[in-house]
Amino acid sequence: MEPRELSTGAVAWIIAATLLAGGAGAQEAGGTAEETEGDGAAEPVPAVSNGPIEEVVVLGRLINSTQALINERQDDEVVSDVMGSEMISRLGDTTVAVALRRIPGLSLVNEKFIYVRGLGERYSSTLLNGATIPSPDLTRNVIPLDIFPTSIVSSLRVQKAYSADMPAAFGGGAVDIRTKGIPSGFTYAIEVGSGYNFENDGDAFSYPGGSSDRWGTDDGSRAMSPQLDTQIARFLGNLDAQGILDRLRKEGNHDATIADARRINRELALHLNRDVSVAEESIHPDLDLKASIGNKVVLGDDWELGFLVGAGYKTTWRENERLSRNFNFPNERTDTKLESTYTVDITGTANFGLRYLDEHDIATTTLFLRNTDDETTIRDFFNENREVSDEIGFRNYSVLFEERELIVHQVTGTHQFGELTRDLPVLRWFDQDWIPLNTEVSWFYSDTIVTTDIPNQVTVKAQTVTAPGTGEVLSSVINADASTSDFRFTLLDDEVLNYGWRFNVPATTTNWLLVASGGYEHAQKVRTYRQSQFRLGAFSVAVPTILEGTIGEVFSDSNIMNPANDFVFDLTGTNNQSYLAATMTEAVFGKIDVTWKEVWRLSAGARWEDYKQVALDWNPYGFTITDPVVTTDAERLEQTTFSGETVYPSVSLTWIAPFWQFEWAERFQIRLGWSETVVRPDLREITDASYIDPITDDLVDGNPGVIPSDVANYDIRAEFFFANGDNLTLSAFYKDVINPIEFFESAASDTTVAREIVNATSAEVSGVEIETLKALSFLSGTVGDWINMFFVQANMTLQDSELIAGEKADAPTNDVRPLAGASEFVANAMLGFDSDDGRHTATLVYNVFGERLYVAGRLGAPNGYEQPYHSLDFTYSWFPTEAITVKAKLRNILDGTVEIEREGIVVFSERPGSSASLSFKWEY
Amino acid sequence: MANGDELNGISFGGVGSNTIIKNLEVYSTYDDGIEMFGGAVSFENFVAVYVRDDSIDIDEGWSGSITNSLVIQSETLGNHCIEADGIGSFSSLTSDAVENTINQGINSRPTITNLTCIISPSAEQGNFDPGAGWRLREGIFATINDAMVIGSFGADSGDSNYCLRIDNRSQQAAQNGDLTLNSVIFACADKTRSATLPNGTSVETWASNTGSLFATIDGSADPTPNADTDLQILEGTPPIYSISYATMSIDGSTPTGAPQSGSFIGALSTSDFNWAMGWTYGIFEDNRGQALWFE
Repeated sequence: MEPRELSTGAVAWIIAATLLAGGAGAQEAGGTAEETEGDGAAEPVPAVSNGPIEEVVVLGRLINSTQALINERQDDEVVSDVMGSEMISRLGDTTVAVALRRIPGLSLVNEKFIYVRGLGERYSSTLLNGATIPSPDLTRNVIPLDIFPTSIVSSLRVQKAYSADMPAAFGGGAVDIRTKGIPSGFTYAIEVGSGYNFENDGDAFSYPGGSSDRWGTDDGSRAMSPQLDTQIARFLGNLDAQGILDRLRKEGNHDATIADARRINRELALHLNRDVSVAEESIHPDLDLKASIGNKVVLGDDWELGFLVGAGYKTTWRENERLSRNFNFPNERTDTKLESTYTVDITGTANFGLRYLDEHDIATTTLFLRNTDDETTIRDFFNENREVSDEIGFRNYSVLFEERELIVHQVTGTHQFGELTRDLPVLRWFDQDWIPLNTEVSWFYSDTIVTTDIPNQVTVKAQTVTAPGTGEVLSSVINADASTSDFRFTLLDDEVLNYGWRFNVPATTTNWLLVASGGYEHAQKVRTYRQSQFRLGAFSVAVPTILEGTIGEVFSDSNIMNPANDFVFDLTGTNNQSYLAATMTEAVFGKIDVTWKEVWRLSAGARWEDYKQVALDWNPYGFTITDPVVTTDAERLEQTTFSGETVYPSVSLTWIAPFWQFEWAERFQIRLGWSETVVRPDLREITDASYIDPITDDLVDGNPGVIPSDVANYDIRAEFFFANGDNLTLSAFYKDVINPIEFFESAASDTTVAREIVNATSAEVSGVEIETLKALSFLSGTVGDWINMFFVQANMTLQDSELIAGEKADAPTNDVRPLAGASEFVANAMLGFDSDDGRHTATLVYNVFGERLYVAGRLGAPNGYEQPYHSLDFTYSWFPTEAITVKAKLRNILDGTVEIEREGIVVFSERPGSSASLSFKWEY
Repeated sequence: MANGDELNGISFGGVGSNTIIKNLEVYSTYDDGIEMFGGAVSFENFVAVYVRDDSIDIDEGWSGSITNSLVIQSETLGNHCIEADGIGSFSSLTSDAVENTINQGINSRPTITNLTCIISPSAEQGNFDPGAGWRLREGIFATINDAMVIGSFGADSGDSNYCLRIDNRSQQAAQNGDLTLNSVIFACADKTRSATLPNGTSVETWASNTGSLFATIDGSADPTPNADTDLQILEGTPPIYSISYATMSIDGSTPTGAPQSGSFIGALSTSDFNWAMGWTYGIFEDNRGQALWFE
C-alpha cells in the first residue's frame, strides 16, 4: 500500500497498522494537527487496497475524492462527517454555509447558520483548522458561515459526537473548516465567473456612498466625525439644548441663551453624513475572480518547503422582497420590505509549510476575509394605528453598510519520533529508549481578529398616503418629530488567542494497540462592542412641503440651521448598548485509545476546563461619577462575572467486523458514543442590555442570570463500506439538555415583538440518520452500460425534539413544544454523472427540510412554523483540456417561496429567486 | 421599552388596586397621556391637556376605574380621547385564545364615570394621527357612564374624526352587553366609524338603543349658549362645564333619559364642587400660559 504522505497522526499510524489486510488509506483524525499536504481530497488515493482501485478510477472524479474522506470518517474514533473540496465544487456551493446543509442532520437557517440535528445555532461551534475563532456576528457567538467562501476550503469536517480533545463547548456538532494547505508541486489557477439572480429587475435601490465601496470598505465618508466626538466630550454627553446651555454657563459664558444652545445643538447635527437619499440605480451582473499560485521545492535530501497563496474578489447585487402579515389582520396590517444589497467579498490566503525527514512539519496559515453588505431598504407598513383601509401608512428608509473582516494567523507543528528522527546525530546523545516509537507531539498557535464595522447606519421614518384596497404608496412625506431619523455607528472588535499542544504515545503488542494522548489548551477572547446612536428631526417645519423632499433635501444644512424649522439633535437611548466582555478557558485533557485484535476499539477521555467570563455594560459617554463609563458598584461588578471548572468525559466504543465476516460488505463497523458537554450563552446575552436583533427586528433583552446548559450526548452508528465504493450508514442519537438556553417572547406593546433569553427546564432531541452512496452500475444489465456513468448519494434525518419551557418563560402558549429551528425531517439527494472520458461531470442536488418552529407564541398565540422548502440545484462542469474547467450552475431551479405560517395564515413570505452563473478556470 | 420609542406622560405597568391616585394631570405629552398596561389601579380626578397622541390608553387587561376626568385636545394635534386594547398580543391570537382570556376575566374591564372629552377634529399631520373620540378595540368590557365627547368646536377635517369606534371583539362585547355606555352624549360631525355588530346592527344604532345620544353636526357647532345653535351642552368660562342634563339641548330638544347619578353628565358643573380648580395647569385663567383654543 502506498504510504499516505499526510498520515502524520498516531491514530493514522494505528489504522495503517491495523488495516494492512483490510487496507484503508488513513488520514489524521481531527484534533489540531494540520494537513500540510495540499488538497488531500483531490489526490488519487488507494481507497481500498485489495483490488478495486481501477474501479474507483473508472467511477470518476467524485467517488474517487469521496473515498478519501470516507476513509477519514470510518477511522475517526467518534461520529463525524466529512465533505471535501471536490464535492463542494461539484455541488456548486459557494459558501461553507450552503455546502454544509448537504451533510446529514444539518440544516441551514437564515442562509447563515447551521443547525446540527435541529439544535439552534448556539449548539454548533466552528473551528478553523482545529482552532477557535471568534464570530463577527453582532448578536451571536456562532460564526455566520456564509462569510467563508468554499474556494479556501480543503474539507469540512462535522463532528457530531464529542471527544475530549476538543473544546467542551459542544452542543449538536462542531464544524472544522480546514483550509487548503501547500500543494504537492507547482500549481496555479485563475478563475473568472459571472452570474445573475432572476429576482433582480435591473434597477436596485441605492444611495450616494463612498469612493471605495467597490472594495467593500468605507472611504471615511460614513465614519463618525471626530469633531462630533470632541463636542460630545465637551458637553459631557448632554447634547440637548438645556445640557448645552448648562455647559456654556459653566464654561464662563454667562450671557449664553437657550437660543445659542439650540443653534449649537443644530450645528452638531451637521457633523452627520445625511447624504443618503435613496434612489434607483442600474445594476450589473455578478463578478467573481480568483487566482492562486503555489509550489513545493525539495531542499537537499531531508527538507521540503512549500507555499500556496490565493486571492479572490467577488461582487453581487441582490434584490429582495419580504412580505409580513399580521396573523389576525393579514390584509389590514401588512409590512413590505424591498431591499437591495450590494455585496463585496475579498479573500486572501497565504500558507507556508516546511517538512523535515517526513516526520516534522511546520505550517503557517494566514487568512484574510472581508464580507461587506451594502443594503438599501424601503419598508412600507401598516399597523393597528394605521391600517390599509385607512389609506394612510408608514414608510421607513434605511441604509446599512456592514463591513465584516476576519484576519487569522496560525502556526502549527507536528513532530514524530520516528526511525529517522531517532537516527539524527544530535539526538543520539540522549537516552531516548523511553520514548516509544512514533510518539508524536503537535502544537498550534492561532491569533484571530474579527471586526464588524457599521458606520452611519441610517433609518428615516416617513408617512404615506396609500391607494384604496391595495396599500400601494401614492405619496410620502418625511415625519416631523424628534426621532424622525436614527443615525447609528457600531463597531465590534473580537480578538481570540488560542494555543495548545498535545502528544500521542502509541504502544503495541500482538493483540493490543494502545494510544495514550493528552494535551493542554488555552483560549481567550476579548470583545469590545461600541454603539453610538443619534436622532435628528424637526418638531415642526416652517414650510410643510419641504418634508416631501428626499432625505438629503429634508436634512440639508440650510433646513437644519433655519431656526423656523424646529430641528433637534440628540444622543439616543440610555447608552447601555455598548459593552466589554472577555472569556478565558484553560483546558487539560487525557485520552486513551485501545484496539484489541482489530475488532474492538475503545476510546475514553476526559477534559478539565476552567472557564471564566466577564461582561460589563459600557457607557462610552459616561463622563461623571453618577454616570460612569462602567459601574463602580462592587456588587454589580461581581454579578458581571462567571467562572467554573468542570470535567467533561467522553467514551466511544467501536466494533469492527473482521473483513471475512461478511462477504457482502468490505467493512462493517458499529460504534457507540457517550459524552457530556456544555453550551454557554453568548456574551451579548449575559449583559443587562436590550438590543434589536438585526435578523428578526425583535427587541431582545439580555439576562445576566442565564447559566450554561449541560448536555448529555448518546450516539450509535453502523457503517457498511462496500468494495465498489458504495456505502451505507445508519445512525441514531439522543441528546438530553438541562437548562437549555432559549428565546421566549415577553410582554411588549402591540407594535413591538420583545424576546428574552431564559434557561428552559430541559430539552430532548432524538433521531435517526441514513446516508448512502450508490453507483448505478448494477443496473447496466437492464438498461445498458451508460448507466455506469451515474450514481446517487442521499441522506435523510428523522428526528423529534421536545422542549419543556418551565417557569422562567413568560406565559408561553405551549409549555412543551419542539425546539426552534428543528425539522422533523431533512433530506438530501444527489444524482451524479461522470462521463466515461472524464471530460464531463454533472450533478443535480435536491434538498428539503420539514416544517420547523420559527417563533413560539405567547399567551395562546399560535406558533409560527417555517414551511418546507424544496431547493434544486444543477452544476455542470466541462474539462475540455487538462488545464481548463468550464462550469455552469443553476441555483434554486424550483424558485420557491419561503413561508412562515401561523395556524394556516401565511405571516411571512420571501422569494430568494433562481440564479445562473458561468465560470471559466485555467489551472496547472 | 425600545430606544426611540416615544414616552407617555405616565405608564402604569400592572399597578394594583391598593395604589391610590388622586388629582393627576398630564400636560402636552408627546405620546399618550396615561397608559395602563394591565393592573387594576383606579384614578380619581384626572386631567389631560394637549396630549398629542391618545389621552387615555388602556392595554393588556386593565380593570380599574377613572372617576371625574377632563380631556382637552389642542386645536391641531391629539389622537384619541380613549384608546382601549383588551388583550395582550391580540393581533397574533386565535379566537380560541381570545375567548380563553376573556373567560379568565383578564381582558380589559375599565369603568369610566363622569368624563368630558373636548376633542379637535384635526387632520393627521405627518406622524400625528387625526383627532378622534373613543376607540374601543379588542374585547373591551367597559362600563362608561355619564360621559361626553365633544368634537364640534372645530370643523371636521374629513379624516377619521369619529366620536365612537368599536372594533373586532368589542363589537361582540357590545352585542352581549359586556360593553355598556350609559348616559353618554356624542357631538361629532362623524358620529361613528361605520361598523356593525355581529348581529348586523350598526354601532350607532346599538349605542342609540342603549341610551347614548348622538348630536347631528354639520361641519362645526359651538356647543355653548354663546352661539345660537341646536347644540347646548357646555357653559361657563372657560366653556368646559356641563349644562345641567335637564336643560341641555341636543338637535334643538332636551335629551331623553337622565344621568346615572347626580344632575349632570361629564367632568365639571358650575353648580358642583370644581375638583379641577386650584391644582391644574393650562385650563383656568389664573394658571395657564394661553387661552383654550375654543374659548
